[in-house]
Amino acid sequence: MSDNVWNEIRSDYDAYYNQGFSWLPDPSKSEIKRRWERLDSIVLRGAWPAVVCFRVKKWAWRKGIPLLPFLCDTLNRIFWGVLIADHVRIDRGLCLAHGYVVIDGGVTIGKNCSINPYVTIGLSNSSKVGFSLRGPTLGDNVYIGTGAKILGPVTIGNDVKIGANAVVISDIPDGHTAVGAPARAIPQKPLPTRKRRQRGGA
Amino acid sequence: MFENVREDFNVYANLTGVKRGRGILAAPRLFDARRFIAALWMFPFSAVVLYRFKRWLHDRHVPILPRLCDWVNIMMWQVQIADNATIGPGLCISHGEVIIAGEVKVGRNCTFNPFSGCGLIHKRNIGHPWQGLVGPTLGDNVFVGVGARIMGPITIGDNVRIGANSIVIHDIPKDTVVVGIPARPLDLEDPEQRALVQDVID
Repeated sequence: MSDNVWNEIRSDYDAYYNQGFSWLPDPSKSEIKRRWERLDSIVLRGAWPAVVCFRVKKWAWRKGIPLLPFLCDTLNRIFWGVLIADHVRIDRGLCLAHGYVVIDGGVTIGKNCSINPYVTIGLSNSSKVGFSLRGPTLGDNVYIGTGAKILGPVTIGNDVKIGANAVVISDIPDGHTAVGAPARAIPQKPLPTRKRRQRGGA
Repeated sequence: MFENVREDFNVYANLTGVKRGRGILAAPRLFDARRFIAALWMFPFSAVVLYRFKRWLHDRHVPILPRLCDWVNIMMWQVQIADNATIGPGLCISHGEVIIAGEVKVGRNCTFNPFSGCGLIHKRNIGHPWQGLVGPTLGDNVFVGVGARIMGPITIGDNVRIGANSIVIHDIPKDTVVVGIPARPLDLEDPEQRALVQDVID
């Protein structure tokens, strides 16, 4: 978790590319052109700078540098509408598609999480559970659709997909999809693979 | 660009409710300062103008300025509209906070309410090696409610009203009202559903 901040930022950049937040590289173009296009789509159009700001903020916060976390937070709020609290622990490979994310409380997020706009991950004060500062715990490779809300001390496993506008207030096991409000877990179908080529003749 | 902005202005000027003057001022004019200032002041008309300007620059292959327009839009109105989105005249963004990503086609006189989005489906959810770059195609006079999301390569007909917080992932025929996750057309013959529409959407 206490990874080098440069490695984190680099793997975030790679995650943007690997998760398809960049264009398909055109082999007819030159290497420099392709690199420029990737940089353009991730840095100038994407919300990767917001992730960088968050990483720098966490680094400065851990080091006890004064003022820099506040500046990073303000930048994030003004430009991308991203509000991530100090105590949030996010492993490497975070992808914010467009920004507009609120993450608050003691939240732990695993590797390669991609978060879409208008998502809230935070605390709840329900009559069933009561208030606790422990927020959701997300595993690796979690995909959160637009406008989904994850509230309260729930645990979400690895390889979970959370549908758009779902409200997750209960645990989701590994490899399930959560849809609806309140969200129910349904097992994921394996992705459609290419049909096996049929052999002619006998 | 200028014809589009003119139509956008007409839409916004009608929204502001500032009446034309009396007497000679009632005559249709080239430029109505009161209504223009009202549209700029009360509604994100400037975001739409900036988007049109950005698109105009993009068509002329101007390098950096489109990104600057984007950033101003993001900072001021939280509006992100992709370069390759095609939007007809009379676009109305009622309060900002709109994301339109990917190759989206939008017809004339469409309204986008806050937290609504028009965009792509992530590659994890379509079993495709890369993100699909083709977004939805909207007809004319489409009303997108608060928090509604339209995702994937689908077609939506003319005069469709999309209810609040609905997730549209299927094709929608024209002259319908759709609500829910995933969005389904309401049966307007049924008096109960008809009443729902009048209460919630109208």
